[in-house]
Amino acid sequence: MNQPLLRLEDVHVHFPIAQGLLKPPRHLRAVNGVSLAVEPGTTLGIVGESGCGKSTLARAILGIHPPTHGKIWLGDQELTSMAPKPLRAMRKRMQIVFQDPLASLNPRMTIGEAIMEPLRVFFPEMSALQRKRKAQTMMERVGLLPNQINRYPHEFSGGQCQRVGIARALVVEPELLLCDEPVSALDVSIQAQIVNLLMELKQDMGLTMLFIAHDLSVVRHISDRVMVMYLGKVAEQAERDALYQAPAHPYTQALIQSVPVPDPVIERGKSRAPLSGDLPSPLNPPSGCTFRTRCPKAQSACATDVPELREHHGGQGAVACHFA
Amino acid sequence: MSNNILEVHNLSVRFQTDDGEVEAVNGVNFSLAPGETLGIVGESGSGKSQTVLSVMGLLAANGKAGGKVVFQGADLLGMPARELNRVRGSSIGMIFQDPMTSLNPYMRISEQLTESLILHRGMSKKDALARAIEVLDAVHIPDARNRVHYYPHEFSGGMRQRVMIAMALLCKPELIIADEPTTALDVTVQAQILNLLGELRDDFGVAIILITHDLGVVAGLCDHVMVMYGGQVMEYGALESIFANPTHPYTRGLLRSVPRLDDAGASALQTIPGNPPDLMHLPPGCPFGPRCGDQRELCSHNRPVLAFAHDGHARACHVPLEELR
Repeated sequence: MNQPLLRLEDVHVHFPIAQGLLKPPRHLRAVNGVSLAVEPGTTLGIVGESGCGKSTLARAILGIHPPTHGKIWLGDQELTSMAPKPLRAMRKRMQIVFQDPLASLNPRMTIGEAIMEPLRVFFPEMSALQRKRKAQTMMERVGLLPNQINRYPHEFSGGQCQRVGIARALVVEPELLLCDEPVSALDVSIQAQIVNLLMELKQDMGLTMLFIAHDLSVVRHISDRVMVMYLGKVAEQAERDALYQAPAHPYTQALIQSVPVPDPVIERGKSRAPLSGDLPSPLNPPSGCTFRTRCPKAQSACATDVPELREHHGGQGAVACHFA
Repeated sequence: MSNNILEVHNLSVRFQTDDGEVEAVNGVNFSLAPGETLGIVGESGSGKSQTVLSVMGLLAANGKAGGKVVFQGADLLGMPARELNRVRGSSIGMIFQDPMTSLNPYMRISEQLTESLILHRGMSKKDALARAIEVLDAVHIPDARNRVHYYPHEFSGGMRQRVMIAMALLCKPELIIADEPTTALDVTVQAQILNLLGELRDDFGVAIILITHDLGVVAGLCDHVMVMYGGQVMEYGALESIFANPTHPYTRGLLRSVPRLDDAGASALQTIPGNPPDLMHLPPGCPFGPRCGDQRELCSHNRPVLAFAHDGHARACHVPLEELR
């Protein structure tokens, strides 16, 4: 195994929730002990439903919400113990693309200004002309016309704004690209364009990617490895095909079965929804295995014993379930 | 022919805006038999939501609907508001995408559910409450007798959508219109809600119009599918034939561009090039023309008309089927 580009060790992100003046705050454990490693040049997909902590995890890696516990390394640099200033410099090695392309662009900045801003921050020695050239080259690479540089975000469609978001993230030539639901807000016919663009850029620029999404089909298409999260914890992780062909965790199995496939024969053949009930409140998670309240295989032991993440998929992955 | 519960003839919807007129819907025709489930598929701006909002008389103030919407023999478009309210309250139920914004956060579910029964049906408070509990049971809300007194924020997203469905069922409607009912929900909860809709159709024989952008959602629930683009119907047909033999370049493009869960990743997805149309400046010809790989000279200035084949399958395309790529 190569040295991983990104490594997380037992990362926790807890948010204090005020209970009132005199009571001590409760803690929402958004991310609750996640460890992972991403090899250079590969894509790790992270799936899970709302509230599973996947976006908080991305923010913890970038230091937007610093982890309350645990360690994060980028290459051989440990981010979690770094002072703010050197940490800022590390950010040019890792960039993020957000879900809502229009909301993440400043409506008063031309797209040229938006794309050049990270250059101004991270490469102050660059001349204005160099910045413009670099921005235009990047625009071309993401499928925008260089002469659109003085336009404003509202003049573009959602798909084009997402191209701007990608150009802005990649213009500083990062090693790690975090994508937080980058295609969820886009129309079906545009999703495919952006997915293809990301895969192409990853290849050309030798990027390492963390691709966060709730859409299991898109994640399968783009990832090398996939990690499934439930209520702040890793339920299962494995090499892409192993996870989809032989899911070991009951939650992974249910997720995969729940996705509607555009094929009437398959859909009509499904008998009923694989999971009943809703996600429990992350403020008050169930004891033992957090999935047990919805799990078809749950036994009494699941209420008391927290399942450890243990090796599975022939040593190439891991699963946290007493019965897998 | 007239045993159809809903017939829409040549429906058009126009919006007057400061920047000019927007043609949101253009010459849409379809009909719905009792107990039938129709899926309307399209991307944002395809006119799918405006089509059903005009059926319900819920267009924004600057919108105007033309054509005919005949529900159980009466034209809804020309109907005075009072009469329309009666039809809406008693025969058509509607479910919206976001259950949190469609429920009043200040009112208990019990008040919101009984309001229309007391108003439309002249029921007593007690009977109305009993009926409210009955519909909450029908949508499988556990402990309905107590939960009927909850506020919306005390329910989870999936439960709120169940409450919305219960509300649509209150007056025993013959038609339920569901506009992206599962888009805001997680997949495992989506599967539950789709099951519930199928169950209601089977148990109560209610007809459903399901609007969605997700072809997978349509595949599980619908009898017929209507594909819209740029305010027009591109293709219409039975579910199986739309998926097995799509005859319109747009439908084909859509089906090819979705990554499938049961399909290990190919190197690149097939895409539909370009961007969705600007409804303010629709091309004079086929709205899909500028993005179509099969475009001909004719397509850029002549708008194709939806033409039915013998098998009830219809397409709006100038290019003969055999010549499509």
